[in-house]
This record gives sequence, C-alpha cells and structure tokens, in this order.
Amino acid sequence: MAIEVYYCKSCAAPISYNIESKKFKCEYCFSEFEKNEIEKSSADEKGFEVDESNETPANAQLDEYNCQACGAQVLCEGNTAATFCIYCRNPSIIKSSFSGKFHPRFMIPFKITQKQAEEIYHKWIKKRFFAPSKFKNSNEIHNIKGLYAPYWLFDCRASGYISGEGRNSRSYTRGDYRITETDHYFIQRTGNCSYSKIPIDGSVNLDDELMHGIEPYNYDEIKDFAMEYMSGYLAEKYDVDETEAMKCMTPRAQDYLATTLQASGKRYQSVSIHNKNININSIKAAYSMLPVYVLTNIYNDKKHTFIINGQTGKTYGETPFDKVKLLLFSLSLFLVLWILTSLGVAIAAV
Amino acid sequence: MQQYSLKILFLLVFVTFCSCVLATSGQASRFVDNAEILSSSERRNINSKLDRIARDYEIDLFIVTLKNERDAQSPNLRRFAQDYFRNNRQLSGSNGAVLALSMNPRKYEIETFGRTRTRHDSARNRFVQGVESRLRLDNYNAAFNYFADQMIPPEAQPFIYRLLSAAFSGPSLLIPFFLTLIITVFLAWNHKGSITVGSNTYANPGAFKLTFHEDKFVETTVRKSRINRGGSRRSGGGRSGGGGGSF
Repeated sequence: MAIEVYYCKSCAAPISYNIESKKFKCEYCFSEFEKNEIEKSSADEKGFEVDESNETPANAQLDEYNCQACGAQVLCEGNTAATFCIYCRNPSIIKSSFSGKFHPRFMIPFKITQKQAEEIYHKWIKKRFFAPSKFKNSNEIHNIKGLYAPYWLFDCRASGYISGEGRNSRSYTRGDYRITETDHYFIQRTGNCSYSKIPIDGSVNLDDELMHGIEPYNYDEIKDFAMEYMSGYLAEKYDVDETEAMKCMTPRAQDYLATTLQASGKRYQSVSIHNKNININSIKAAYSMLPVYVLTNIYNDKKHTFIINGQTGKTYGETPFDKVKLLLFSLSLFLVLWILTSLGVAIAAV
Repeated sequence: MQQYSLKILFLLVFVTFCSCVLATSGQASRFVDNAEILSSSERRNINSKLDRIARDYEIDLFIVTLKNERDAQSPNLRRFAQDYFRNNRQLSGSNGAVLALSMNPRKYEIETFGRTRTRHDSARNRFVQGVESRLRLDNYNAAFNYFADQMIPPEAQPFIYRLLSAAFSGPSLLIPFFLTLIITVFLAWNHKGSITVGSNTYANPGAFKLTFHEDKFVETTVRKSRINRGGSRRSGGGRSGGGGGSF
C-alpha cells in the first residue's frame, strides 16, 4: 500500500498543515513552508508496499502500512485515508485512498484548531443541563480528533407542485361567545429551483443526523482537493457511494422546494399540504473532503458522539440523559416559580 | 339645685343606656339558624365573629339557614339573599355579603354587595368552591367560618395567610407548572444542538421560479365557544354578585 508523507526541508521531520499560519509547519524545528515548497516523499519510491495477499480473513477489514518515521507496522481500518502512527504520532496519508474513484474533487481546509475544538466542546458540555455529571467530568476532551470526512456534494434541480389548504382565521367576542371565523382556500403552487452542493456524508460510521446538525459549510472557502492538507489529520474515504447518498439527498431537495413553494404566493396563517409531486433531475455529485472534529464517549456501554464543524465551529452531539437530574431540575424550577408567583399574587391582592 | 342636677344627669345616663340596649336588641342577629344545624356554642361563636368583622371592617355580613327553600318566601334563594341584605343591613353604605343555605333541597347562595363584590369577583370560583367543599362534607361550622374569614379584606389579613391562600390558588399552581414544562422541554429538546439549515441554504440565488399559483376560496367556517366567566357559578350584572349551587 502506498503512503504519502511530507517532510521538512530543514530537518527532514514529518510536517503537517497548520491552521493558524495556513502553512505547513514542522513540529520539531518550527520551520514553515508554503504548499508548493514542501518536499514530497512517496513511499512508492522507497518500495514500502504491503503485500495484501498476506491478509487473513480475521483482519480483512483492516489495512496496514509501515510508518516512515519509526518503521512500525500500523493497522488501520479499510477506509482510512489519513492517519497517525500510534507509536510516534507521525502523520501519514494513504495515497491509494485518494486515487482513482476515491480522488476527491473538492475540500475545505480546517479553520478550527484542536485547542479551539476542545474549548468548544468544553463550553458545549457545560451547557448540557441534563447530562450526567460523571459524563460531563470525564476526561475525554483530549480524544477529540480532527477528521476529513467524506462527503458527496450534490448539485440538482427540483421541479414540481404542491396543493393543499390555506387558512386565515379571525376571532371576536359577541356577548358570552368567542366567535372564530376561518376562511379556507384551496391552494396550488408549481415551481422549480436549482440547488448547489447539498452535502451528504459518505461514511457509514458517521451518523447522518449528527452530520446534518453541523451544516452548513461556507462554500466560499472550498478548494480543489490537495492531498497536502490531509497531513496532520485523520481522513476517511467514502464507503457510501453516490447512488446511495442520492437516496438521502432526494427527499431533502424535495422538502426544500416544497417549503419554498408553500411560502410563496399569498400568505396564510396556516397551510396543510395534501398533495405534492416534486422531481429531482440534473443531478451532479462531487466527492469532497470536509473538516469535522469528532469525539466519541462511551457511557454505560452506549456510544455518544459529538461533532464540530471544522470550518465554522458549529456543534451537534448527543449526551446521555440523567433522569434524576431532570426530575430534580423540574421540581426545583417549579418550586422557585411557585413561590415567586404566590408572592406576586399575595402582594397584588393588597 | 344640686340634687336636681344629679337627677337630670342620672336620667340622661339611664335614657342613653336604655336607647343603646333597645337599639342593640332591635338589630337582627347576623347569624340566623332556622335549620338548627349548629350547636348553641357554635352559633354564638359565628355570630360574634360576624359582628367583629362587621365592626372592624364595616362589612354587613349575614348567614341564614332555612329548613326548606319554601321558607324563603321568595322566587329563589338568590332573590331571598338579596332581599335579606336589603331588609337587614345595619351599616351605612351597601357593602356586605349574605350566605343563604337551604337544607331541602340542599342548596346555597352567596351574594356579595358593594366593595365586597368587587373584591370577590376576581376570585369567585375559588371562594365559592371553598364554601361548597365544606358544605358537601356537612361541615357547616367550618363552611360558615371560612365564609366569614374570606370576607376580611386581604390587606387586613396577615401576610402569611395571604401568601398561603395565594399559593394554592389556580394561577399560582398553573403558571409555574406550564413555565416549568416549557423550560424543561426546551432544554431537553435543545440538548443536541439546533439544525440551522433551511430551505434556501443550498438554493442558488434567484433560482426559484414560481410558474403557477392558484388560491381558490372554498368556504368560511364559524366556531362559537362560550366564554367561561367563572364556570357554572354565575356572577350577573346589577348591584350584587354572587354564586351558588347544590351541595
């Protein structure tokens, strides 16, 4: 298996992309290089090739490579594209994971540093009122990892119609009665819209809801894919192809157009859609790598994943619920509000 | 001369005393127990309580029990209570209340007048319910005492009493309950974070085209709902207000 490592021109140590300086930085001699300056060193040239025929059925889902720094044999999951040596933390890029059909078209570089990501998580977890204290205080924060996640960015055109009922109500009082009059309208809207770069994650391991939660990315900063940016981060190649990803994208695009159609034309106080038919066509998918920070905590044998958008810092995650905490909080809040309301009523009665 | 003066003074004192006694004895008792449902000591206590409240807060209070509604000699118990107040009030101004109770059928009526009416209009349900719940338990003495206590103006009641009374009223329980529910649900719902992607996030600017739209009027529906002004316990217009029911 061919791997790609970038070395420092000054001291020959492995280098990685530094977000703050937007340059490639050597952690040993602190030299910084522009992208075009860095010296590439291909493992192919040095003949480091894993004999894949040696794979046993037990580790068929694993790949292995030889670390360029310490020579250790490192195992990684089959869809790993960039990783670290677990012994010397040397960053390595598995070149074959970005070649052929796995060569990404676009990427967005990380803008959030590891330290900022840890601070964001710290702030986020502090605000989770109902997360168990043990979970909040666990020292997992340093396990947060920067990952280039595989995404499919879809361009498409949606066209179709919706029909349903629009309602406008007005209320007034007459004598002892409250009278509500509601006008009902049959409404129909037909239209179309084109959408650009709807992101659908291409990894089975990443939860779709969580990935949706950290959207949107700022596409003003999107770049053509360059392998150099992968250095220093984890990366995965896709294991959900564009056909599968399209099945997630289609209902999203349909919902977008239905919502836009519903909001167009005459406005109503409430609308219910009875029929809709929206077609998606002119679909183009671009395989891309987008930055995320991922932290997975195990609590009571259950996985809880927290994700940060590596570009914008938007967070989304799941934490366990402490039912006792929830109950105590509700009771305390009720008591405080009860006392305050009672005091207010007693004082107002004077 | 001095003897005459003393006699005249003595006579004046005697006349004043007699007129006071006569005046007092001429006043109707504030608690009239025609149905004989309280013991004599309970009657005395409630009577003195009504007298004290009337004197201290200038509120004409009456409680009248009847063996039979027919004894009221009025079209209904409410009318009886109104007439009773009009015919028996002892203080100047029309500020007071009457609790009329019939044992056959078991009905009661509370009529409030003047300032007392204004004050009790806002909390009528709770007040009437308080009396009714005690009557249902045949705890007449407690019901009459509760009625009398409620007539004391809030500002004259000890703060702790007002606070406890407010604490178990409907708004004081319902408002915190719903606020707690809303805040807890919001915090729990917001636990993961928020989805900020909308229908226009990925739309190309200016790409949306509405090619056809139709808005056809179908019908107008009308829904009427009665406004609950104190539930089944009415409070009508006019000079008096009140509530009542069966127990």
